[in-house]
Amino acid sequence: MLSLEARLEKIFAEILEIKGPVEREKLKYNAYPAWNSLGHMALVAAIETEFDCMLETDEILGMSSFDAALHLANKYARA
Amino acid sequence: MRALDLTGKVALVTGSSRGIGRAIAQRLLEAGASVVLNAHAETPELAATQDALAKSFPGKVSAAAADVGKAEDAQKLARFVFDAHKRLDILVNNAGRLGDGLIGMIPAQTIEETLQANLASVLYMTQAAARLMARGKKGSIINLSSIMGTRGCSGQMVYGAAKAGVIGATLSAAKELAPQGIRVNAIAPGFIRTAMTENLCEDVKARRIASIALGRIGEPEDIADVALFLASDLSAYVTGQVIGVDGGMVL
Repeated sequence: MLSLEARLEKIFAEILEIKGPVEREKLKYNAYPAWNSLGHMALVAAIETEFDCMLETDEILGMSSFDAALHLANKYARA
Repeated sequence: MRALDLTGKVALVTGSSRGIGRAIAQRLLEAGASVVLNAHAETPELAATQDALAKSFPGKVSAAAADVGKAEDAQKLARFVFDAHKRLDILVNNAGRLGDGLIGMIPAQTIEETLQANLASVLYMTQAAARLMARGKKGSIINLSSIMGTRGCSGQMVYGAAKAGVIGATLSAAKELAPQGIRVNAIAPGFIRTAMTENLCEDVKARRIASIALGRIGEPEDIADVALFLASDLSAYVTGQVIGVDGGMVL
């Protein structure tokens, strides 16, 4: 079974079409090429599906990096 | 007809304790959908509608009170749907209220409340619903506008503006959500028999009916039939449209 971080990396790789290893520190909203507003909503939908949750609006707006997404994944995976 | 079959689908109809909303909810239930009813508060009317529909469609009807003109309530309503069904296929943004008055005599509070109930509610619910629908890569959002929003009418500046805003929201959302398989359309009813129109005096009613080419007032079921079309796969290639359901009314 994949770790929570690995599950999240898989989501980012699929949605942002990342070839090769996921460089987490480069994954920033509006900085990483494919992470625009459309990519953001696709990430949100994928995270909500994977972790069977529904994010709050302020969480969606605040999810501006991989680490921020990981924080949310941790929160909902424990819930 | 298979394309009209909504079995397994989940629909949310805001403002569905009576009138057009209730008729739409019933039509979607008849087509096989599970329906979440909504009213702005826990009203006896909402409970009565839920009881009545649940008798005909056992296990298919639930209800949640939420003032969808408020962002927090809209979010809570979407969460209710998620917790209950884990999905949403059809959203009908029907909740609204009249806010008539002649220009120069409209209190600021009426302006704010009318925009909140008729327009902000559509924006908040569309945001929340689109996320749920995006998971399934498919969905239908149906917004209730009005002939007041497409044609305008004296005494309806605020309501007309709100309902015109609903059309603007529909057109933009249709373009933005199409890549996710979500269709967004609007219905613009004309003069429909509801609690709002029943209170009009007889001569006003008669003048309104005289302006309708088909010569009769519309029934909530006339709107519900078009909503069913837009909710179903019969309209699979229809998005970003405003369908007038007004019997050829001229304002």
